[in-house]
Amino acid sequence: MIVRNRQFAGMQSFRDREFARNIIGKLKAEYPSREELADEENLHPRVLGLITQARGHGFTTDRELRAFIALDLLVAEKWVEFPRISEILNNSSLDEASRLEYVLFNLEEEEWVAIRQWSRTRVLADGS
Amino acid sequence: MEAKKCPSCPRDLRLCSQCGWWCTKCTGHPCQTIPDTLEHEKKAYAEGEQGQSSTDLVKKCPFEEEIFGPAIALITSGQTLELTDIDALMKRLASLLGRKLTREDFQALTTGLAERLGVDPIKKGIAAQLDTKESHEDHLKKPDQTFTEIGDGIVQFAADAISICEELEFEYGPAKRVYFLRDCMWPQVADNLLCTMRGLEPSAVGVMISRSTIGLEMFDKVVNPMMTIASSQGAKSKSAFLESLNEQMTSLLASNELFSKQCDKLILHLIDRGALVVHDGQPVKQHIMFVETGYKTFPAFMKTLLEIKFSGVVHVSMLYHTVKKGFECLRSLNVKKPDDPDNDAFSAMNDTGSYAAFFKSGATLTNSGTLTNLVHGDRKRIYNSMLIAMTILQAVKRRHALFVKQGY
Repeated sequence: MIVRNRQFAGMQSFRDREFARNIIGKLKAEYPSREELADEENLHPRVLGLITQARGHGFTTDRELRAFIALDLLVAEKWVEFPRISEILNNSSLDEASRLEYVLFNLEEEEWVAIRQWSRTRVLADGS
Repeated sequence: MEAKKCPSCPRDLRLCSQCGWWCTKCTGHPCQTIPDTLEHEKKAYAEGEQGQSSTDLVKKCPFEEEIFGPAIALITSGQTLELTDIDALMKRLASLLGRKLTREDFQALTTGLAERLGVDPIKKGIAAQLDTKESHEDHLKKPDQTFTEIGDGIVQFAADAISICEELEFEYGPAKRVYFLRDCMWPQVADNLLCTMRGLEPSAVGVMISRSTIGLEMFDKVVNPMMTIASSQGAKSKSAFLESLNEQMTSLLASNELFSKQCDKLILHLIDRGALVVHDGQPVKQHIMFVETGYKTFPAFMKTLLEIKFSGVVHVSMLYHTVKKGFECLRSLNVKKPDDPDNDAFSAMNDTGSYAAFFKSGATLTNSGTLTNLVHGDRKRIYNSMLIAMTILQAVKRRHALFVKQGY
């Protein structure tokens, strides 16, 4: 009757894989020309990693996970590590959903440009 | 200037005076592409369904209706089914679906079967709700009965519970039968089936109250000594035993804050499971019967607790059964010896979530949805769970026929 932790982890991993496949499919359909989504082999494990990372920030619903993943894949890789974002996502005076909403709707376009620039520099530095 | 590579493609990057490195052929100029992507994602978020989570395991399996319909039809068709027939059933289901059965299908079959037979499946979080950890303290006892005998024993036990409640109805009003899970899950199934077949509302509920949910330390250091004292003081009669228990527990509730807190949680659990009916936060006048296939410890503990807390409002009866041919094996849930071939049936009986067991062996699902690496033991375990359910169903039918014959 009781589902043991290890068994739950097995089922959770199955659900996550399914969710990752779905989200990749949706993003590909919506952004057919984006080459970030072309690398099938690495994309799936990366999305699974992002799901875990998103959960770590308290995001669990479909739309939160999608936003988290899409921002990382298509807007700015490692966006969560940008100091301003990190500050917002760790702001305990806001609940988790409000933190993500704040990031999405309250940051100025210039801030996103800065995040994008920071992300590119960071990714290149990590890769070199 | 040293050339750098685009993170998304193998092309060289150029330096943009506005936004840093960018790749014209791949993603376009970031200053221009960000707003489009971001706006699209903002819209997707705003339009997304709030609170929905595809990864939430508590959500029902989408294939449940599709799979479970044919399964229940076959089970209730009245034919006598043997273990080998279950193989045929699985093949039939696969044929009806036009594909191989998947992990989700097995999950739907076992949990769906329990739900349809009137068991509210225990979801994760109950142990957490009680701030305790689930343990597997039961030891394996090998039954020497056939499945049919076990099924008959279980149904007889449930029928006894119903019958006693009906006898007490005149004095205390209709009783809600509350079965202690996991051991009493199948008697609960039988109870609800018997009621359904007699045209009554199936209302038996299951509660997860055990040594583990009370808390192992609390049980060993507080509850067990209390029971020992009550047993010695009340050796001559049941009422003396209960009186002693009542005195000790009243004193403990007043003096031991931790014990009192844990008891409150147990009561909340009863409310949560629908075992204790409340109105505006207070229990209404009601009659509850705790049913246990094991010893009297838990029924007596809960009876005393409720009668102290809600004296004059909640009347509690008990039906417990130490060991009787037919259901002693219900106590068995041996997770320590999963490879023991004799273990399958016992685990399956207690383990509606036996689908979960098959993940232990490393069974995997291919991209095309085919289940692989499913070892024989796992399959047998799942089948056994279904077989028990079928056996009970058939025993209920026999019992129902007897009811009809006797002009019930």
